[in-house]
Amino acid sequence: MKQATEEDVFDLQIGLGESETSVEDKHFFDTAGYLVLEDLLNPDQISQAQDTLSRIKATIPKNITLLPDSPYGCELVNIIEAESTAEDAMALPRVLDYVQEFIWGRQYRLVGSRAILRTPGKGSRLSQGGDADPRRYARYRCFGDGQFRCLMITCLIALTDTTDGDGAFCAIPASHKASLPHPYENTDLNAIAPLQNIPLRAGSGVLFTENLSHAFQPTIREKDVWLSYQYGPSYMVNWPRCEPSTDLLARTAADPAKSHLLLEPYYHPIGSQKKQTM
Amino acid sequence: MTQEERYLFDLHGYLVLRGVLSSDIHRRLNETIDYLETLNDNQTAALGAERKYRASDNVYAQTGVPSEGGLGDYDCQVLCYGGPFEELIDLPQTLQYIEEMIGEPARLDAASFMSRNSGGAFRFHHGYAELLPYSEYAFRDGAFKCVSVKIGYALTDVDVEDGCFAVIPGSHKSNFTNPLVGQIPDPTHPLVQPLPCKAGDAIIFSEDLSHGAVENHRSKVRRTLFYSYAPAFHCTWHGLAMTAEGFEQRATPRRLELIQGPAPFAHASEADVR
Repeated sequence: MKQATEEDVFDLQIGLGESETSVEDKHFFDTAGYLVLEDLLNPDQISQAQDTLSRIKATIPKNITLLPDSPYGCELVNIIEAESTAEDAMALPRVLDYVQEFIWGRQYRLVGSRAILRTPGKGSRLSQGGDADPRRYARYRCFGDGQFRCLMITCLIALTDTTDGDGAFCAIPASHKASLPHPYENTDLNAIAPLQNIPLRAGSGVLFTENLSHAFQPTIREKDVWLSYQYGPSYMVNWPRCEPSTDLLARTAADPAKSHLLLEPYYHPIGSQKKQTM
Repeated sequence: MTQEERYLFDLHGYLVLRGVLSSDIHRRLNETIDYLETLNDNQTAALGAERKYRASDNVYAQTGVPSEGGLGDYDCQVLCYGGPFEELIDLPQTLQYIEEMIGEPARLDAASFMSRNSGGAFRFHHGYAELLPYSEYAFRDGAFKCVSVKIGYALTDVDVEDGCFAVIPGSHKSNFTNPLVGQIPDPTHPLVQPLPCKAGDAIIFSEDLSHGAVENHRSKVRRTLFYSYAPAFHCTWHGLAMTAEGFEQRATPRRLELIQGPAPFAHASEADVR
């Protein structure tokens, strides 16, 4: 007779094992700590998103925060408030299927969003990653039977082409499982042997655990634009300045994917814990 | 925490702290509950301490039978009422343990009172709970990094026959699904440890530990307060950390921080999450 599990009795988790993520993708993500997702946005969406970002950078709408002096140039925080592609890209079905697999079944939510508008010469430092990363909310978790319970994962979507030598996102594959701190605190990114550039065409993205050591190579181009969405388990609170506005909640209420992402944080889903006892 | 307490918490997943509630606070807590139990349900709800009775088909609880004229098994929010319940938010005797067990800026994510009658019990849940990520027990780099630590304060003496709290020591590290999940704890089972307490004692445990309550075979009502803490990036449980009017004005800075939560994403700068 099959042994009963916690879920058989208490129904504390929903949507486990329902994603369509292939074994190959699960294996790649578990091994490397990221996945490259080609062609998440089509050319029209890319163009529309670029236009929107140029417009709102000039006149910042309410509910979006401009960080003019970020390490990259400037950032627009809570970019989902910009509607259209910036809003739609938080709930791309291909991405959410991975999110469901890697975080915790249907118990995931959008924690934060931003646009990154880099200026020439702007790169970033390498994040710590692995066991030594002090950011507990970034933990990578996958158990021996292949069940993921990651905390924060990020989908970074390029709105301009990046190449190997110009502004690529980069990461140390497998560093989400590093037992030791990386020894590259003050090292030029180009001198870090295990760091791999992950060039992306505009519209493509990379989905990675925040526990992966990652960075941006400095860009040369004048225009270098990204959308970034952070997802976490249902109980993770919003990133500062990323509270969804009532306007956003109202206009997404009829969209199951978006409204699910924007639910208030919760531990157990509505309707859980209703199973009969054994 | 002493070295022995650290060892035992890691080994067993819980600690029993004797006499952490002074006779004064213990008396005032019980007097407050006595007073609230003289009121009807509407009156307590209006005061913020709405009683939620355990339904007979509750998946966790085996409901007890009240004495004639007594209240059924119920839970209620306590911080919405305020009073002496606020004093336990940052009780120094227990908060020092919480801070070390969680190991980073923490918040209170729930506080509630439970009243259990004769015949009542609580089924085992959790253990192998790393698959429930909000309750994970962890120890890394020489430090505890638990994500949910709870304190059960006994307001009445509770012996095994009175339906005391029970745990499976070590189950916070189990690598297998728990075959006792969903069962009423059997105090004679070799894995089960009943934890009798005197009024004023506290049990601090990782939510990852398999825990429940044995059946109350006596007529005495068991009274327990539960206070739950988590890292600041966790949300609260269904309003169970909501406070009464005027709390912000009368709370100590530490108490206020534990309720409102410190900055949720510790060690992050704006440049850290891309």
